[in-house]
Amino acid sequence: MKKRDRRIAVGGLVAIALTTAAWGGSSSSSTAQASSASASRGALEIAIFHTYSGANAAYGPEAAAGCFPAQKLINAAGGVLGQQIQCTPVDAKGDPADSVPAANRLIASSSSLVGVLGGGSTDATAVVPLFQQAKIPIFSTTGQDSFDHSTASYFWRILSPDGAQGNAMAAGAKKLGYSKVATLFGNDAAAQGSAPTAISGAKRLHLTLTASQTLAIGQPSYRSEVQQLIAGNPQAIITEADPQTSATYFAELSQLGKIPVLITDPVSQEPTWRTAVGGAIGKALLDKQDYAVVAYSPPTTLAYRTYTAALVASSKQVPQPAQWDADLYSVADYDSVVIMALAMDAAHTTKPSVYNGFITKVTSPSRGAVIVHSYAAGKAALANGQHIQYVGAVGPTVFDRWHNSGQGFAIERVANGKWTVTTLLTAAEINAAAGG
Amino acid sequence: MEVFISAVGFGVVTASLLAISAVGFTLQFSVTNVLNLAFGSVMTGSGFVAYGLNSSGMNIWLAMIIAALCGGVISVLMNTLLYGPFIRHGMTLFGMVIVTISTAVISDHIIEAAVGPSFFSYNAPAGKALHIADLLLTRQDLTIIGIAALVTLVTQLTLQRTRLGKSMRGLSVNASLARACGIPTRRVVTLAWFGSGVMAGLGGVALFLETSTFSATTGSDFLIVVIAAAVVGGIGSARGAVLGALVVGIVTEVGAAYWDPELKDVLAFAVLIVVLLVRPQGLFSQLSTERVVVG
Repeated sequence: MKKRDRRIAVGGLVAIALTTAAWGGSSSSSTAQASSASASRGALEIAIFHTYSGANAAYGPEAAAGCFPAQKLINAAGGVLGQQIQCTPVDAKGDPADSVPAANRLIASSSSLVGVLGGGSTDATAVVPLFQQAKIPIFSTTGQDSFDHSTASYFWRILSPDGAQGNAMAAGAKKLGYSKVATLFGNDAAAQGSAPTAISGAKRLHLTLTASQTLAIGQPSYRSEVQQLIAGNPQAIITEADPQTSATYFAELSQLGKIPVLITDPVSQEPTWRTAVGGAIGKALLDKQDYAVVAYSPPTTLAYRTYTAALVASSKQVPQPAQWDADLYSVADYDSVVIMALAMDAAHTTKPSVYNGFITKVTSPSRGAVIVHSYAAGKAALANGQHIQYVGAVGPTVFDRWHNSGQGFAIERVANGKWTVTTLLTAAEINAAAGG
Repeated sequence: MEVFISAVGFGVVTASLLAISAVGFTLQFSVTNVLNLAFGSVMTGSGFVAYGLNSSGMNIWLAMIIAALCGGVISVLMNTLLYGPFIRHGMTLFGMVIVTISTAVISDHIIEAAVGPSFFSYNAPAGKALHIADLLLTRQDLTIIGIAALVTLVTQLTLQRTRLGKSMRGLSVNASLARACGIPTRRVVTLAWFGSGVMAGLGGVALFLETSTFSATTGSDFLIVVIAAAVVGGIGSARGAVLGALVVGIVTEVGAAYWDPELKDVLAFAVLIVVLLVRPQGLFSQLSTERVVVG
């Protein structure tokens, strides 16, 4: 090979290597780095297996805002059975084509992996079977109804599934007194999870549906759709879509007409959604019109205050920590890590295949169980030989036989810069929407 | 009828967004034969330059002009530092596609690392829409339509009436012959990259104004529609790019008004397939079929 040709070949290889690094290398390198660090300290690894790049790059930091505060509190309490917990970010990229190899690399490369936070709506069906096969518990934030009756014994879901969320949104519109509503959902897997039950719930509650739109996400314009929506003159819009789509749609709605009340879901409490939509239509208008229907987690509880204090103290690993304190997904991830740690203590082993069976033992209500709201309290009670029920920052987590846990729902809105509960939705109100 | 006219009006706005970028994309491709898939990254980079200036108090339209010039510089640097060495060493058309994909991925990650995984908005409210006949357009829409018209006109006049334009056209037909005829190919190529980058910058800021929010990947996400418009029009033709943009823009908006909005992309790309079935070279392509990359 001539010298010049070699230079070209080297240049090409560099380009390919850089591409590989940019597409998938970050996850493997971060995993390997963390794994070696873990091995040297004997730390137990919890993988934050979420998206850190691309359009949904905020999902990773969102989960990290739950994991690192839990890590801080668990390690401050002496760790689990004498071993420290280490949260490890791994970029799953949100697409099965990338997340499956990333999951395989994670499983193969980390001998200290004891648990996973991950499996979003776009890749849960692809990666959950891999962690199931590896016998690693995975606490997922997917809302997909395909997991409502999942037989995967290592799959756990703290937050309510999308179907329940959609019914709650319809019930929320009714409870707020609106009779003419439109539904507006993105055509991605995450938004489509709650769309069918939101629509069927609205019909069951005899609300007039003025429009029912499914948006192709990420378009430069939605003016034609907006004009159709305006023609129906809805009092409220029941909606879930990604930040970019929502921002473009509502900005055009404010240009062509007026923004009615928005009935949203926990996605609207995510900082990225509020930044995008608030930037597009004005933060004051968004705060005024937005009613988020979310799982009820009273912000005054000891568990929630413990979480927020640890979150603020984790600013080294979680930049601008305060932005996540009302983010339900972050709060649920915090509880997930605490539950895994307590289950290990209860099982007297960190072996995932063993402690997985103890997860329900530290969360289920039972006669004589001591209710605890933090890892330290739970660890102390277990050391005293007591049974415990961990009631965390999202409230009681009672898993059914398919490892799903649902909470009650509340309608929240921003008042004086903070999310506050406007009203609670009763089980009867949600059942009316669900047809139960 | 009112709905149809409105939808056409909305389509013209979308087409204007597409046209600014598609003309830039196709201009550079016609001269250099490099299918620059990092064009979207130049749009994003320029958009963030405008964001920085706008955040420090500069009027968005002035910021747009400076960002466009920055886009031109970024584009020239991209060619000089990255693509040029590969082209000079005989990289094939397909090889260059891989290099530009690599550049796009790396650039987007660098931008994301710099700005973070958040969303941004310009401080430039579009205001309420004005009723013009049955059309509903904001002042911002009208400005963007004007910019698109100006960009197209200037590009067309440059290509048809100036020495530089003739050189570009000569290069696009036969680079070796153009070089033999004394055309300073490197300078012409550099100017083509600069012009393309300027239009990427204008297109990026215009897109981000219309979408009202943007992130580190918004430009690249939009690129596929830009390429679709350029391909429908006939890649290498500025007139074709505008016509392609009008077809794609109007079809998507009218489709959304009368059909399922979820399928607006499907409709646009179905039109693309039909056009290519009838005219594989696109509506206005003037390019030679046997071409090599030019650096």
